[in-house]
Amino acid sequence: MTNHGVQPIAGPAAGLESVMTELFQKSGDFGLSREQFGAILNEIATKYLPTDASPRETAELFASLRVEELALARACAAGQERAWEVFMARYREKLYDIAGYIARENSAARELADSLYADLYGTTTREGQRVSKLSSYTGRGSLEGWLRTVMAQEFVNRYRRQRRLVSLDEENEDGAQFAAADPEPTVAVDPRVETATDEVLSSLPPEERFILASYYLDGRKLAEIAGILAVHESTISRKLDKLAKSLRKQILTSLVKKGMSRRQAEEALQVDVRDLSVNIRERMAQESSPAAFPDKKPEVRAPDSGPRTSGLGP
Amino acid sequence: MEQVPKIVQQRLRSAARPGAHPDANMLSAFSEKLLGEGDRTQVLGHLAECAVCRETVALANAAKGEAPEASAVPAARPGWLTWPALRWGALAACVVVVGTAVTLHYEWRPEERPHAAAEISAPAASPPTVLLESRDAGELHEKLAAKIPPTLPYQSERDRAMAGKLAREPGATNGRTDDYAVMDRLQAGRAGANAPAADQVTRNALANSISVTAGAANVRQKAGGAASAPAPVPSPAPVSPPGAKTAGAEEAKQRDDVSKVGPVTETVTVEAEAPQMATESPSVKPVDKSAVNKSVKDKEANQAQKAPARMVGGMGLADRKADMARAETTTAETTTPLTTTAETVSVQSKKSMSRAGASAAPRWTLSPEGGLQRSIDSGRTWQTVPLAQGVVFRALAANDADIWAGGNAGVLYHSSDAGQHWTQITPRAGGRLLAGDIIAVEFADPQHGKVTTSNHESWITSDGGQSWRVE
Repeated sequence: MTNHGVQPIAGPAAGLESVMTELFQKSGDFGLSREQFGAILNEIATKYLPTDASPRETAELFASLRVEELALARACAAGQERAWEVFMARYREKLYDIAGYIARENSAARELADSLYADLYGTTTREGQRVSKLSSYTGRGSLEGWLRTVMAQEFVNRYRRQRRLVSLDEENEDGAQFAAADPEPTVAVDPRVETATDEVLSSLPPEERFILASYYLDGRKLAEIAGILAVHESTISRKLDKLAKSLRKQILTSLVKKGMSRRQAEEALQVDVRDLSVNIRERMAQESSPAAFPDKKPEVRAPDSGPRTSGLGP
Repeated sequence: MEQVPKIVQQRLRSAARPGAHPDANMLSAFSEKLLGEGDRTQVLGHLAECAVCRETVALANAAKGEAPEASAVPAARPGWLTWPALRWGALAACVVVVGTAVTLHYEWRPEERPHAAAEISAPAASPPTVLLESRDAGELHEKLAAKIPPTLPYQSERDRAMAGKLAREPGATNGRTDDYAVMDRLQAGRAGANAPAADQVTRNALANSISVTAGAANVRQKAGGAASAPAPVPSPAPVSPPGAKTAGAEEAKQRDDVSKVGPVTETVTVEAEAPQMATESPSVKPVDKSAVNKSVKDKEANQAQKAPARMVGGMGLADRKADMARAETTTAETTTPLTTTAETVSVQSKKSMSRAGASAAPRWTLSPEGGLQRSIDSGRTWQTVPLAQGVVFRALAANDADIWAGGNAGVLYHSSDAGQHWTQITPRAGGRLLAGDIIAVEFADPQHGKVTTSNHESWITSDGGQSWRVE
């Protein structure tokens, strides 16, 4: 039995005894003492609030916490048997369900869930004490949401590790035998275009940059992005349309300010050879069955030869 | 979807230099929209630059299990409804439909007005009582309902002041203190010799018709003597003023009779706002005078409540609905047979009053963010009720004025006066406190109810929350 994460700490919650008492009463009976609970709150306040935070800010942070789930998690981390019983009753099935959603395959899902369960129970030790992952739960969101996120993090880490260790046999199976490096076409991009683009991108609000990155870099669907931001799918669609138009316009304006003529600025944006490759891919996808060798780069011609064409197109 | 220039994607990728990753607590709170604006912006800024955290959040979000189907929908190509032209087209179509409905509604009303005006103007040449006797009372009722304006708008403050002055002159208005008499004087003063005589006659005829509608038997008895006389105007004054004595005795008596049912003009005014209701009444039979007086009092009370809205002029949809409901009530009362008792009328008035009261009761709902919201205008606008900071309400039970709202961590609020005052209830049973998230609140009546928590506990009270037991 350990007491990890529940040592009494004198800190920001010192003047909020009444608030802490009220929260302690709401935290349920999972075997934590009031002192232990107060120490947990102090630890959370220290983590999320600046050192000069007012008592009101501290009280607001405490009020926003899921104290019952926090007490449950920390009591589990402290090895309280009753807390573990409650935790298992509430979340055991959910853990496997979540793993199933994330891994999409039974054996991988079971392995993922078992691995996380071991981390939650605390199979690793630090300075002779068992360390449970539950001791890092701070109650800012629901415990179930936290479990989902922790499991997703674990899955992403595993996936990235596996990707680095992919074998040649697997590459053969994927039809990429002796695959050569696939360099991007070496095209000298006017540094003014890069600078203008960077300036425009950095002026965007974080939410819009997130939408752009999710859609254009990660290839996420509108519904997925909408689900993350808790808005309607059509809102994301509208924002993307608006963003694409305003980005082009702002970059053009910035390029003109940097000394380019309007025509030069438009050409600098339009003749980017990587735009050509995107269009050719779209065309191939429409005119043929799924490609046996995806991501094969087409040949490109000089951009100043009229309409966009390629050696593969008609 | 319009493509951004490829350089934008390249710069987005190369600009990604994420700092320290937010912990799982922050990411899960972000997914659940529980972060404050500052924290949320910070997390979004990191996510915009960190592909790993974007992947984590996306996976965790998909694992909610709520929208696996939705994410499978090929959403990259927007549906036809997202095409702006079609969306605006749908909006325009709605406007056209509503406009057509309103136009048709108003076109339908004036159809009867010229007809009624023509027929009622006839007494300018012949005595009104002849017309009244030759017409079916129900038909007359229809025409009156279509003809009489809903309000008597004074055209300026000067008119209003003049109206007050005229009303204080007993002889000048033949003792009439009602608004119609005052308006007659005002219009005569404004238009001078150009004022159409037919209008005056029509109004006189209307006034006579009103009196017949309310007490046809009385008027018919006196119709012979007054057949050739100008149409008298009803006066609500119980005692005839000195000016009235200049008229003939018969006329004075008739006016006296009419004065007893003078306020009935108010009843007809209400019907005028919904002529289609009035036309449905098969026939109007004379109503017992006492019953009429009773109903008139009740309706006066009703109209006193609704007068401000009507004086504004333009009626909104809600006002129109309310007036339709009023017209329905009034029609029912007008068509009441002679045997109708005053008590019945009174009950109907009370019902209409209670209906009006019920429509004014606030409505309650929970916002997607878990806030408690109230609407006092039948759901058109909602105001958030600031009960407790940081509490996410998930369950609500509203039983007339008895409101219960339950949220996370066992937070339970109760109001027994329709939200004027709130009390936080802390359910306790056998030394245990309700600490789980409340996911359902059910109250069949103010005393008996059940609160269900996320850990599958049911807390039951049978004394309005004073004591609880767990199942």
